[in-house]
Formats: sequence, structure tokens, C-alpha cells
Amino acid sequence: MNAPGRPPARGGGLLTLVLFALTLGVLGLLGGLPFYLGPLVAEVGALTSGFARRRRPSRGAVWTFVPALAALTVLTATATIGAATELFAGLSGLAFLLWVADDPTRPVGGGRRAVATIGPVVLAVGLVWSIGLVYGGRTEQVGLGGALIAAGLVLLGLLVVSVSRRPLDDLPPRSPEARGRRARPVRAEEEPFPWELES
Amino acid sequence: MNARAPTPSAARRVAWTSRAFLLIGFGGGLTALSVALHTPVPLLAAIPLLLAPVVAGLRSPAGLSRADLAWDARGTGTEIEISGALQGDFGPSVVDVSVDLPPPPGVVESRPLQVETSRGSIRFRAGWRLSEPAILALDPPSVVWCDPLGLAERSVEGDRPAVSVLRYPATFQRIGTLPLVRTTALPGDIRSRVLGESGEFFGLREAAPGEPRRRINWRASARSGRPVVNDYLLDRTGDLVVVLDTRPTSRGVAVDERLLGLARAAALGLAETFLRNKVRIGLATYGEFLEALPLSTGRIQRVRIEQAILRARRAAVAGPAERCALGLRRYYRPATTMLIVSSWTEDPTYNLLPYVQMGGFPAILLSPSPLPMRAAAGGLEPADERLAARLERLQRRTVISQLWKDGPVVDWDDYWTLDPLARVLRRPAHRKVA
Repeated sequence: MNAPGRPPARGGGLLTLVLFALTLGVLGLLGGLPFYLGPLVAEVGALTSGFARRRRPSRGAVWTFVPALAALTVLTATATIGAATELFAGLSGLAFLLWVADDPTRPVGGGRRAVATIGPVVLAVGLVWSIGLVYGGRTEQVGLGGALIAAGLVLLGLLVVSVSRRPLDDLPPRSPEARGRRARPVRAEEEPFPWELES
Repeated sequence: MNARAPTPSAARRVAWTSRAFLLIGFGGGLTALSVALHTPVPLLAAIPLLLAPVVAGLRSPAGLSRADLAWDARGTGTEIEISGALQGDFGPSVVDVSVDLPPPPGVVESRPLQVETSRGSIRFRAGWRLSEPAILALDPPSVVWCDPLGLAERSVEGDRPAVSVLRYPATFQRIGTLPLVRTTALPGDIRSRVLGESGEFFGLREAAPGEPRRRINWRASARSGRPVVNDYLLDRTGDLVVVLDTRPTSRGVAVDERLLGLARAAALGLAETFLRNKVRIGLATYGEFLEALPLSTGRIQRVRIEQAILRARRAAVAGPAERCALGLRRYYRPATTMLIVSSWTEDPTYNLLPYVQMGGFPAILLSPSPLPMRAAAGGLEPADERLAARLERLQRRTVISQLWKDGPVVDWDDYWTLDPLARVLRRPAHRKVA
């Protein structure tokens, strides 16, 4: 609990920004752009976003992410096919999520709290990348196929969330019969016993 | 007050934020790029962007389903102290629950919202300052859970009572003692004599079945040997109907809301002070159609008036003035004094004053001025600002002087006093019926 009257400590986001800038920089180095241009695009995108976010720390200011995402798009579109570039493309996406979680407008420790959300995403990226790595002979087709499977899973998830009007925690609790236990007869509270009626 | 909690289905639904839509947009773009360029590299970067919003939406905490609110608004004068606590089973996700309480129009934040969290409760405090007298029905704060990435959010339901803030000038107290036009079948300046429940002592009579105990004269009953009650002479100086104009104007929602808050404060303050003097008070609110509260007096009528005033909201469409006058004729007897609280100064055919006068009611118009609200809002130099304020004041005076031909008009520009209205009420001129 926070001290009385003191606002909760806010997240900084500097460490995660450095991490994101580093992974994006490595992707720029490995990518198809000239030697100096790749890292330049990466650092300009990451630092512009980081600076804009620190300057205007607002939850609604989503435009601050646009330079970083644009740099990621440019670098991945121009990157040459290879295990290392694929790995750093996935790592850049994950580092971006970690940086997003370190929100300066929210209490500190966003990255730690977001581990449960980012964990499945790390698994998915690792799965797709390892498929491409193991079947290295036909990297393009296998990588593309694996990614399409992941995209299919994402679309299925989207369908579940958007079509279903009842989220999972909204379902009624399971009855004792459904859990395999014997149901105890429950007496309604309003129903009086016969001797209560007589008195 | 009724709780204004959202419906359960709406409250428990997880919604994506604009941040999630941005990520999905870029993720979709990267996927399309990957297919177009025949390269898997953009797809590897797209997977986190596409998958994270879905996982965030599915990870909404199951235990965080309800949070009940207990809060109040205290303070005196212009200061409002807001404090409250949300009770619920928040668990560790309490850090991700945000409380949002924006100040209503016409209220400035003197101390920002402070939130203290623990596993079972969220306590918050804020300080506001009123710019002018107002009656505010404060909407409860919104309580929203948002995932750590800020991609999915869900509002938390619960009992959330609304809180009202009543602030009006102390000078209202003096106005209630002023005599009003008498409202009887035979108009004149003679006081009506009606036997009622309060007023001056008139005489004794035998108690009837069901007589209230407080009216029994115990000494007289002991002397006569049977229950005897007091009778009182009820003096009525007149009846008053406060007409609250809730029609929209071209000044915009924010200024209209502030002017309406001011009008509501005036209406309730005046009604309360006149009710204290046994005057029968009615209330009519006119937006597109007329809603009327019949004439009555007493504490219950005060509660009725307060509730009706708190319900009054800015109407979407402005109704014509004739409709208001016809509606008033339907609910109130002619010659009842009408106090119109309206800031309408635009289309003259929509002015209530002449039509209400023509309906047979002596009417006074109390017009809250928007000029103090717009002071120093133009972004001009101080000298230009003074000149603009002077021009606006002259223009308003011209408009008000044109309204004076239909009846007495009070230009209310000093919000913390109603002495100009008291001066008009003291004059017999306002008793004239057109």
C-alpha cells in the first residue's frame, strides 16, 4: 500500500527503452539496409517514441508508438531472410511489448506484471522461429507456414473475444453434480419447518 | 439517489483500447507485407503485435467483478472536498484498477485526485473549487481495470450512488421575507385567512379522530376533560412558481451546463427560503416540453423540489415560448407569481417573459449572465480583454433593455448575491399583469 496522501510511484521505462533500442539496432545491422542506415532508422524510431512518451505521458497518446512501429516495419520489410534476422524481428516485437508495459502514467512494475501476458507471446514467437530453424532447408515456406498458423490462431482468438458476449469469467460456477460430488439437499431459507408454523 | 452502475453485461465485457487497435493495425500491415514480399521476417515481428491484445483480453481477472462505492462531498463555500472508498475483492490486480473522477463544468480542480490502494479497498480524495453557485449531481467515478500493457480494459460494476453538492449565496435568506402577490380568486392586498397546520394561534376546538399529537393542547384538554387541539391561522402572502429554463442555446454545451447549474442553485435557494415563510412554491422546468410540480409547502415539498431540480438536464431541443405559457396555464391558476430563471437572449420569439405575462401571470425574469464565465477566455492582451468585456457588457445591456418592455428583468452577473432580484421584488411594479 502506498503511503497516505502520496501518489503511487510511476514507471520510468528507460531500461526497457534501451532494451528495445538495442534489439531494433541489431535488427538494423543484420537487415538489408546499408550498414549505417539500418541502425540509424532503428535508433531514430525508438528514441523518437521514447522521447515523445516521456514528454507527453498520457494513456491516450497512442501516436507516440507510431515512430517505433514504423521503424520496425521498415527494418523487417528490408531485412534479408535468415535465422538471425527472424530471431531479432521477433525479439524486437517482444521488447516493444515490454517497453509498452513500462507505462510512465501507471504504477511502477508494469513489465513484471505483464509477464503473464507476454509469456504466451514469447512461446508463440519461439515456436514459429524454431520451426523455421529446424526445417532450415526450406526456410521461407516453413517460416511462412508457421507464421500463418500463428496468425490463424490469432484470428480464432479474435473471433472468440469479439463474437462471444460472455467472457470466460462470466460463466456460472459449476454445480456439485458437474464436479462429480454428491449434491447436498439445500433447504430454502424462506420455507419454515412445520413446528414453526404451529407456533 | 439511484445507483448509476452500468448494466452487468456491459460492465463485464472486455474492450480493446486504442493502443490495441494500433498494434493490430501494424501487425496486420506486417503480415500483408510478409505475404507480398515472400519473406517471413515481418511475420515474426507481427506475431507479438497481433497476439498480445488477444492474450490481454483473455487475462481479465476473474475475482474482480464488483466494487461498491461509499463517498461524499463536503466543504463550505466554494470548496468541495471529495472522499470515498471502493470496497471489493481486488486482489493483486488492484494496481491495474484506475479511478477516474473528472470535475463537472464550472468546477476547477484545487487538489488532484489522490488514490491509495490496498488489496480490499481503494481510497480516493480530491479537492475542487466552484467558480459560481451551483447545484451539482456528481456522477460516481468510473472504475476501470486495464491490463498492464494497456491493451484491454473492463469497467468494474457495483453500487455507485450519485452525490449532490448544493451551494448558493447566503443573501438568498433575505429574499424569502419579501411579500409576494397574493393569489386568490379576489385579487388585492388583503392577506388570506386560512386555517392550517401552522402560523399564528387562532383558537381551540375538539380533537377529531386521527388528530396529530403535537396539535393537542394538553392543558386545555385537562381543564375540559376531553381532547382539545389548537387551531392556527395560516397567513399566505402569495404563491410562487419558479420556472427553470433548460433549453439549449448557441453558446455551447459547457457554458449552457454552467448556466443551468447556476439557475438550479438560484431555483433551489429561492424555493427553500420562501418555503421557510410558509409560501406555496411550485416548480416548472421547460426544455422541449413543460414538466410541472404543483404548488405546495412544507418540508416534503422542499424534497420534491430538490429532486426535480437535480433531475433537470439541458434539453436537446428548444421548445417555443407559447408552449411553455400554455403549459403553465394548465397547471397553475392565473395571477400566480412566476419567477423565470432563464439565460435565453437569442431569438426574441423564444423569450418566455412576454408569453408568460400574456398567459395572465405576473412574471419576473432572472437572467444569469454568461459574461463572468467568459472573462479572460479569449486569449487577448489585458487591454484588449478589458475592451472586449466592455463591448460585451454593452451588448448585453442592450439585449436586457429590450426585454424590459415585457416585464422586470434582473441581469444576474454577480453570482454570489441576489440583491438585484430583492430590489425588484420590493417594488410593486412586478405585480402588474400584462
